[in-house]
Amino acid sequence: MKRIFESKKAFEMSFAWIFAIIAGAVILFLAIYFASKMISSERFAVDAQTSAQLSILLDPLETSVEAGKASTIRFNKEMRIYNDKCDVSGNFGYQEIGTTAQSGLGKKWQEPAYGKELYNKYLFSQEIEQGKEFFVFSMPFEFPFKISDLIVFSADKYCFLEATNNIKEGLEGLNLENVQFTDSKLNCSEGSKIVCFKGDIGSCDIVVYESSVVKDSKVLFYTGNLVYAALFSDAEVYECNVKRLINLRLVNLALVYKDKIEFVQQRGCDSLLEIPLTNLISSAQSLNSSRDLLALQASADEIGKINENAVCKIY
Amino acid sequence: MLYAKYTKMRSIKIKDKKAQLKIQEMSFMLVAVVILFVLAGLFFVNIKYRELHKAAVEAEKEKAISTVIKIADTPEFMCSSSKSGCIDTDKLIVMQERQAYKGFWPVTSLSVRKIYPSNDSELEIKCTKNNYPNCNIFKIYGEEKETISTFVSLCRNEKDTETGLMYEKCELGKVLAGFEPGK
Repeated sequence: MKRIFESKKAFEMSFAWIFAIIAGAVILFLAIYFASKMISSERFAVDAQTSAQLSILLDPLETSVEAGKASTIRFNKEMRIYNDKCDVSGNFGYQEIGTTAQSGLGKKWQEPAYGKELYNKYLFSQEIEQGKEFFVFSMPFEFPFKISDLIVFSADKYCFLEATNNIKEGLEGLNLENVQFTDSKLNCSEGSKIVCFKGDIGSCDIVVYESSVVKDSKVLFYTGNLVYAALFSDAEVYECNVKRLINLRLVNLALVYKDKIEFVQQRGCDSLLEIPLTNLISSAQSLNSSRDLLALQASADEIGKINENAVCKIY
Repeated sequence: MLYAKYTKMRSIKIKDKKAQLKIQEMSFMLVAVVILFVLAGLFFVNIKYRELHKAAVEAEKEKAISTVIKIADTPEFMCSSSKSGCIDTDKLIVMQERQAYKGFWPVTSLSVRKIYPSNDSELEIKCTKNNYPNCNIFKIYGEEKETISTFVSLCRNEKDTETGLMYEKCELGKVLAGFEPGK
């Protein structure tokens, strides 16, 4: 050992070399660190833009006189759409949609980037949907007047076994590529979720009854087109949106119609809807879960009948 | 002997100075490299920020366009006849007073103007419960800055003075939705 230090032939590292190596290492480390940070923030920015564009893409799906609309959103990468932020606070509640793209660099899936709060949309899906193709459709929800459009999106395949005519007609007209109707389980494509309506429900993922849908051992109650929302979405997303629709949007709309009645009456156009609307508002405000929908149905039906026979239609 | 010691010490001092000079050179070089990297970084960040800002403005504009196209078909405005692109002006009067809807749609302002038939004076008369339907502007919320607009029919139920029957009277209007670039 001593020899090595005393040897005149030994390699002498000058200060400049040591300094250059340390400085070079620091620069390299910083360059790699900032490059990885930049890639990560770039991915986040792209995801945020995708989330913002997604909400714009859903706008044309709003229905006017149509019974429903459908579309397919295709990405060139495997994507995850997060529909796990739903809130019932404020005047209308809101949802936030997050997206994240699969990447070969760094983490395979990074944290999703969420778009702005969506106050005027009701999006039904599983909390996390994953795929390259997302099948989207919308259906109007009337109770008894139109409250909003229910926008449903899914990346999964569904196999409907012996579906009722109503549901078959409602979905077949939309030509959804991820929904298959059949009378035998054997015809269902591999990996699809089996939706049963009657008969043997032993190996079914989802079971549809007259006013409820059972999935993941949870019961979701529905009325009208909410059945499609219940079929394709997670229980948490569904219950939150039902509250937003009934507790908040329906109540605000009923208040608009009540004010309208007061206003049109001054022009000699009487309406018998004021009291039923007041009743509907108070019942809607007390809704706690989709189970309470059935109790509200009678009030909604009454309003529907009165308005249909009225000379001055309020809606 | 003394001279030899002196020359040795002097050569060490010269070497020291040379080393000091090299260190100074190196540190100047490092400072220059760091400054170069910082400047390049700032330039890159600036370009990225501009791109993001541009994308955000575009997204806001697109959102305003898609909202304004569909707004006539939302239950808060749609005619009782359920015609597409038709706004019930009775609802507009009511909606003007409903503060709960402020910010409900992703636009910064929302107003509706009656275009045809126009009033004789062509003055802008804000609609209230007292002057309706003899007015031409319904301001739902917000102040108009940059707007996107689309044409709609403005309809209301009227009583025929001769027959006493109700009919739907329609006029031509324009929906104006505001957006704030970069907001």
